[in-house]
Amino acid sequence: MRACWLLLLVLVAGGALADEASPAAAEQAMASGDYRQAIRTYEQVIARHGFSAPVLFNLGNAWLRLGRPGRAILAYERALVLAPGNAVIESNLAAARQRAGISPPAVSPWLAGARYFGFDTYMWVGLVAIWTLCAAAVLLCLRGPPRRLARPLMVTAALLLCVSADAAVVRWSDLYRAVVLSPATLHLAPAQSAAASGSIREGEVVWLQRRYAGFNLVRTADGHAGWVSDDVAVPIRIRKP
Amino acid sequence: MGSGARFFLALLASLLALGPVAASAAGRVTVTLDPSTFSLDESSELTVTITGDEDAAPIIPRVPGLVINPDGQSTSIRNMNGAVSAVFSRTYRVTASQEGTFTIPPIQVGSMRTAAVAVHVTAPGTAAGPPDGAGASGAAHAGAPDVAAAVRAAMPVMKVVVPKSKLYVGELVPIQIKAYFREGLSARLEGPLAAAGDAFTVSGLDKRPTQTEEVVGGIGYTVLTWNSVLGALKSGSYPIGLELPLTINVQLPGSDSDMASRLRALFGTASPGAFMDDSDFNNLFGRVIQRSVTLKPDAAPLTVLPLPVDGRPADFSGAVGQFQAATSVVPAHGAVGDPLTFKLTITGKGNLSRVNSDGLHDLSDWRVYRPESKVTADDDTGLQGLKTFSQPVVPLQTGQLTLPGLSFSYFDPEAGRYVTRTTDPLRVTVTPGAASNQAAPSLQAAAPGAGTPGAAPDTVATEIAASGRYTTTLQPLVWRPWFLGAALTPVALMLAAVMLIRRHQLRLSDPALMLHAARLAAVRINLESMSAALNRGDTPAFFSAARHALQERLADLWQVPAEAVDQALIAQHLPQQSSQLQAIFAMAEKATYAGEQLGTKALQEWQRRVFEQMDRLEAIT
Repeated sequence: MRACWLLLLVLVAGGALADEASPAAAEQAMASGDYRQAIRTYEQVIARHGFSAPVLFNLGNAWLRLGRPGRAILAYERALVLAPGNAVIESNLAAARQRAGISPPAVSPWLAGARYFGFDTYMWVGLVAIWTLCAAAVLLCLRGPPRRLARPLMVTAALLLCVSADAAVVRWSDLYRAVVLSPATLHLAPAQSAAASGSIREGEVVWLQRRYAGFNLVRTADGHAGWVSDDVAVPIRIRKP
Repeated sequence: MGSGARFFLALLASLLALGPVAASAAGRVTVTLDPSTFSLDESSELTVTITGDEDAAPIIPRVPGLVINPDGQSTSIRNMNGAVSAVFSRTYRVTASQEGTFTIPPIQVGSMRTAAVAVHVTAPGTAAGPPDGAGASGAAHAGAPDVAAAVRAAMPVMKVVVPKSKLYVGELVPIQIKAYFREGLSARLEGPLAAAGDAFTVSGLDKRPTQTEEVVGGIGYTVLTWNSVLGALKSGSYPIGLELPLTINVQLPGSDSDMASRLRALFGTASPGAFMDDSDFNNLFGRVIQRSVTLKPDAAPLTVLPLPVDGRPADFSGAVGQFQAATSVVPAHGAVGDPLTFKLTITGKGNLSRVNSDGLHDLSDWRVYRPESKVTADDDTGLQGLKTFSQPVVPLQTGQLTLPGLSFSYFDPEAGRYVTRTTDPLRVTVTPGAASNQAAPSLQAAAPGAGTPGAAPDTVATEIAASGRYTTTLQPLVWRPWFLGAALTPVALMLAAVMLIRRHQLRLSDPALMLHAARLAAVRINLESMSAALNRGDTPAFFSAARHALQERLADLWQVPAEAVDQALIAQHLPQQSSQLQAIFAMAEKATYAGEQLGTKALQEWQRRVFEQMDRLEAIT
């Protein structure tokens, strides 16, 4: 009997915990203006279930309302990885950048075009193209009608592969983008005591070059490079925390 | 005596003296000390000169009370009346630890030795006497040249032309650096002119100097001039530190040769203006030594004054010079949300690198970004030019908006006081634009001061329902191992499939394989015909089919034409089972040619034998 009660208690507590870490609970906290609680809940949701564009978007909103544009920018950038080109996310990302006092990044027409689809979309297209290309190569070895089908298939697959490969090359540096969570000094060497070589602002997007002993070598949009502690510049594309 | 006759006699004497000179050119060592008398706080230069092919290192003896340290070495080639010889000179710095008269013992150089040298050391502060030719020279031959004096006389001179004698910290002034080389002096720059010391910066030293000719005090000089900018770094009185590494070739008067001494003795022409003092003659018997020297400026220290603390404006950033400030906004009109560019331009002469401005900030009607600066120099030295601060500004409201004036402070070294320049406010007409309808909400959200917790206007897009699928990683597909596997798998499958297809196609087109298949088909057809003949009771047809089947099978086995298979070939290849096969072949001939008929049972027995032979042949295969 005591064991039954204990089991029931565990189930109720588990249910309560599950309820507390649900997106609905986070949205309720947001509605009541408790942004810190909303952030905690959204981060629990991410830790438990993984990333989702709506959760990341809402998390960004919470950070932005809490006056932390750097973390908001990180959440929005991650949301855009899952929902590339989403106008609502991009709008809020622009608002977060404005609040951080960061000019919109200059993007070349090629890069802007390549960003129309997500990086993974190009990878999927490339994978399909590789399969098609290989199948067409096999068909080309056969005789009769299959052979006649091979050539158009091969041309189409090759075109798709070229487009996806080009887009991937143009966007390759996107994979190494990171967001600066707090203003920091760039150091000449991976040590806090090393001489300063510049500074980076909260919300600024930098590119990770190398990692060493708890420090990241980063390059800024204007070409400056330096070492910062790895909790300052957080990569956008990560595994589940 | 006329000059022509004197020259003739000199030429004759030279020819007479040639023999001994040539003999002595085989190897000779001399030692000189300059000066031979010096005080305790001075030093002297000991030179060991080796003439000839031998360049052995001199063994310097220890002399109690004297310190003799190496100071350099040089090599020169001497041409004496067509006899060329090498001259190696090694220089030592001699200092003393006590007063007195010392003797440097003969110095061993290879197989040769010098004479001993007397040294007189006097009390500190007492001036050393002029070089005593006889006493100073330890050479085996009198009349050695005063090398140090010759080097001193030929030494180039560096002068720095500074427009003022007092500077302020941070002040920049144009300067001219001039290096004077006597006409005829052969010199080579061994490196660029470089600044030394930490009191001043000197820019523009990497530029190529201009070369001119000047006459100073009746002496012609080749002058190298660098136009540079001098910057004072710290207050105090400091010399301008500059260094120019050089190698100079110093022409020594020809007074150390046996021949010159003999000619002097012969003609007694030691007096000024006499034959032996003729410069051409001296050059004829002279020698050239090479010295590496570092040229430093001969200038009085400059006084650098600190910037006054009194009256220093709060926004002073270290700019020293004379400047003007102006602002502009481009375009002059705009719509809400449209970015404009506000420019602060500082023009003038001075340290533009220290000119700084925070730009506009904390404006309620405008959103402002951090300014970016750019320096444009008007001249090569970078002393004069302009610095522009460009700052993106975005109007947040319509109407006549104002961009306030900016102030900029600097120190004027000519006036000796701080100056603050203030620009006029700029008025900008802002109209409601198409972009403003979309931009306004987010612009308000980004207004300065809204970044404090709880104070941010809730103007970001509202939350969206967190439904949909979750993904455990944001890492790109290309970094995941399974994706690489999925990309490589079709390639592997394709290669395998292509290989199999090609192999199949190759088999189909192989003539040997095609013949093998055809023969097996023929065997099968003949065996079927044999069975059909058995059913009909047709003995000739039965044995004909049996023979053809065996012929095709054996032809496939031995790779020969089927017609070539007969009893003789069977006996040759299969001696052990030839009897059975030959019996079938013999029966086939009987049935075909003799018309022999057998019953069904007999034919069935023959069929069993044929199949048995077929199985044996299959086993052999």
